[in-house]
Amino acid sequence: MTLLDIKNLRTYFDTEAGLVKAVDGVDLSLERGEIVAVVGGSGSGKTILALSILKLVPEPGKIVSGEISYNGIDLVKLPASELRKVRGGKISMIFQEPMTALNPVFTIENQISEAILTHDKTFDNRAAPGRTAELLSMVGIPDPVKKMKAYPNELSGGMRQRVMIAMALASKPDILIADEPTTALDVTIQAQILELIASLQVKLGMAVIFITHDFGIVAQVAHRVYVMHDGRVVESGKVGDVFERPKDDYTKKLLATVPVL
Amino acid sequence: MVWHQLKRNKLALTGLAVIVLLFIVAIFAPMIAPYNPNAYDLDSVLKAPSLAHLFGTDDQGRDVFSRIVFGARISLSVGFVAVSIYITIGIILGAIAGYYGGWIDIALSRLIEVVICFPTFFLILAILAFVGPSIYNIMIVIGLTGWTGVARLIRGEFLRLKSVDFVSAAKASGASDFRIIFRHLLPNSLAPVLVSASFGVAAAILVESSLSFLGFGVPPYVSSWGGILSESREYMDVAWWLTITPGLAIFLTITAYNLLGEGLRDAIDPRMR
Repeated sequence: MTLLDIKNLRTYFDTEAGLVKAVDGVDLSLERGEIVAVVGGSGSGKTILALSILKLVPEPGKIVSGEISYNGIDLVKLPASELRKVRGGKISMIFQEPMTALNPVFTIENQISEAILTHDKTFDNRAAPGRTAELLSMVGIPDPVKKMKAYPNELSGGMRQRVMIAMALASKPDILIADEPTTALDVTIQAQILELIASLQVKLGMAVIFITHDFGIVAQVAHRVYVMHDGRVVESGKVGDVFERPKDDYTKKLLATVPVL
Repeated sequence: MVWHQLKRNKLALTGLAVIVLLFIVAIFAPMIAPYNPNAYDLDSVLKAPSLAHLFGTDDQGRDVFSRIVFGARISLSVGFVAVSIYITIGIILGAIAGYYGGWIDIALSRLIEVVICFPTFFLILAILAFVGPSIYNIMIVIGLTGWTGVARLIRGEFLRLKSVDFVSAAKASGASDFRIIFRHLLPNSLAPVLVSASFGVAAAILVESSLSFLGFGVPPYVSSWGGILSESREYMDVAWWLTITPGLAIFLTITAYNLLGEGLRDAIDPRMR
């Protein structure tokens, strides 16, 4: 069975300026252990698509129709209490801006243990620090036992994004949604984070939905790609095929923006 | 971080020192006061300050210094309890309004505006006229009328923080509303409340002194600064110490809290760095 199967999803924003169809009839499927990229320009609806999966669409946005079936369960119809178990438990998400995605008043340890204790009842307060250190070393943070006592403002952007990844992986999710996780980082750190996500994907066998505007990143990490424009999927397929034989005009334009080395 | 900033502000530190000193005085009042504050001594009525009576005596021969020392208990406890009550109410209502938004926010915001419209001091006078003057009633009434400022602060901070990334991240990781409010939103919005509390304690002490001065405060046999000041009116031209000493005590306390409040405000304001 397909791990995640999105069918004809529509997320609309009823604003004073009129109805904005941010996601307008999108189909997307994700198999176990696969990295799928969703690529598109600003305003193409890719982030709203990602937020729709966890039903985190900000006001006044609403999922008006469609189905998001995870392991056969339709997330759109799931009650809030059940949905909370999926969020961060089965499907985790990391965000674009690592500088503001951590709560500034708590230590790293505090925040990662929270993520562990929320979803995994086999850990208690005494076992959590060990697991926290383990997660931090898995995402490549040197000296994790010392670093986990730090507050977010004491870490660099790349380190914070690693912490965010560790937090997202705390519950061993089936799916990781990464919403432009490298956009706010500089190029060398970008490459490290991409490599980390790709290697963790193989190691943990999870599926990844990678949201980005950068076709260069798609080529580096993804197996399949969906190209989004104006809330619709204009083209999809294996990364190699789309790169070599783009069919849609918009895809061709996006590909033309990738610098040739 | 706030403490580091505050340390460089001499005035705020002085305020803090005065407040700490006042607390020590209030807690150890029975040991510090040389006389029973309510002991009449008709042989020494309206005596000027001397070594035996540091701040002199009043018209019934009671030691003014001892009365002021015990009065610190009333002032500080009214200030603290009243402000604690209204901060609690303000946080709860402000948090609900800011977090849930929509019609709940509209209803609570209108309620805040209605309560702000009442002239607080006269409302307190009116309520105390019904329920009778006592220190507990003063605390409760100030607490029930003073929460609007805190509620507005918390509501504003919640509205701002609600869309900050770490709150979205917490939601995405399956945190409940309760957890988001108490772990992620509240700790990040308490700093302005701290400032408001410092000013609030000063205001509450002033209200209590004013009420006692007008005779609506604590009963006359309990020594409070406003009460001493009130009794001194008749003897102002013969016994200056009766007016000056409680007046100075009120002035010093209010100033100390206001200086601390201003220091805290500057310390948490990033534009001041």
